[in-house]
Amino acid sequence: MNILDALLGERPIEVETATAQSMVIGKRHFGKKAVAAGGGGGRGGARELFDTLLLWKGRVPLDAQGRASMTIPLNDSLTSFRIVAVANAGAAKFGHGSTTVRTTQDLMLFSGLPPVVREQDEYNAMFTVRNATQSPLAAKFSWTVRDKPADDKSAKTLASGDTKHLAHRERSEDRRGADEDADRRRASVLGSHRRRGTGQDRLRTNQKVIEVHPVRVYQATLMRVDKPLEFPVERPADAIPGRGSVRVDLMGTLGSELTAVREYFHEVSVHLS
Amino acid sequence: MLKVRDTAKVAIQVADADGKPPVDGEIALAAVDEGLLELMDNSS
Repeated sequence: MNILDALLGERPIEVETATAQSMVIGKRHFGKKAVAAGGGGGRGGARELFDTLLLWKGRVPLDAQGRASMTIPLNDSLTSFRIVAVANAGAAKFGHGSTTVRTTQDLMLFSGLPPVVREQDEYNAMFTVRNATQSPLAAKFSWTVRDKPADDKSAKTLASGDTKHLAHRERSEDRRGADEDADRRRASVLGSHRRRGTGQDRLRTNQKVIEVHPVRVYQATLMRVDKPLEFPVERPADAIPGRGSVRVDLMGTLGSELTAVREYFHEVSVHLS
Repeated sequence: MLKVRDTAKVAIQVADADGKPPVDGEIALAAVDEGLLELMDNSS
């Protein structure tokens, strides 16, 4: 952030060439190679809640000593905030200054839950808890998986600056008969700080449970019903009971009705006449 | 280091090139999450 840089920006090269040299194969990559390598370099994962602007005040008058003071209410994000002031006086004087503040909290919880599991998978439901205070603290944790408690309250003592993993062996449920909404499960963890009332953290995370054997089409056929039909089907030997079906669709005509096309032409003819 | 949901107090002192406070000065103040600046450079 620099006002002068913005005012006196670098001018681009004002020569436009008409060659297509950049398109020479081998000179430049297209497709997957051209996509920037992902990962983010560990500079923070994706956030669901991204409330970025804390405060924007367009005009704050300065007093005679050139001072001003403001209070900025912070949000829940554990992050660093940049506070920037752009000053101006009269028509010719301007400048800027900025500072950064970081936010922290006494007790932090991080989810290590795998984002996708298959049904009947056995996995470790992991959470990480961190004591960011200067003193050791005793904390209680509990979590629930889709409204039913998966683990009773377990107490842990965390030394100052200590991080502990909480792992719980878990088996994912069967997805049979589940609707799309039930795909995502909720887990919430609550850790509380016994010594001070304020130290607690909560998180809610989603986990997708996918089918191990998704239902797929084995065979499909199209037949004309002008006589009694016989179509032998057999359940595959390794089929999972309770899943899959035989689907029969009956249609009056092979082609679909051309209502939309007919309407279009009707509209066009109305327009033209 | 601040706590989440805290209030940050900022004091701003503006001086001109000679070190004197400007006459009739004013400022524009913005506080943003740095995660936003990581997404795209802000040149203004």
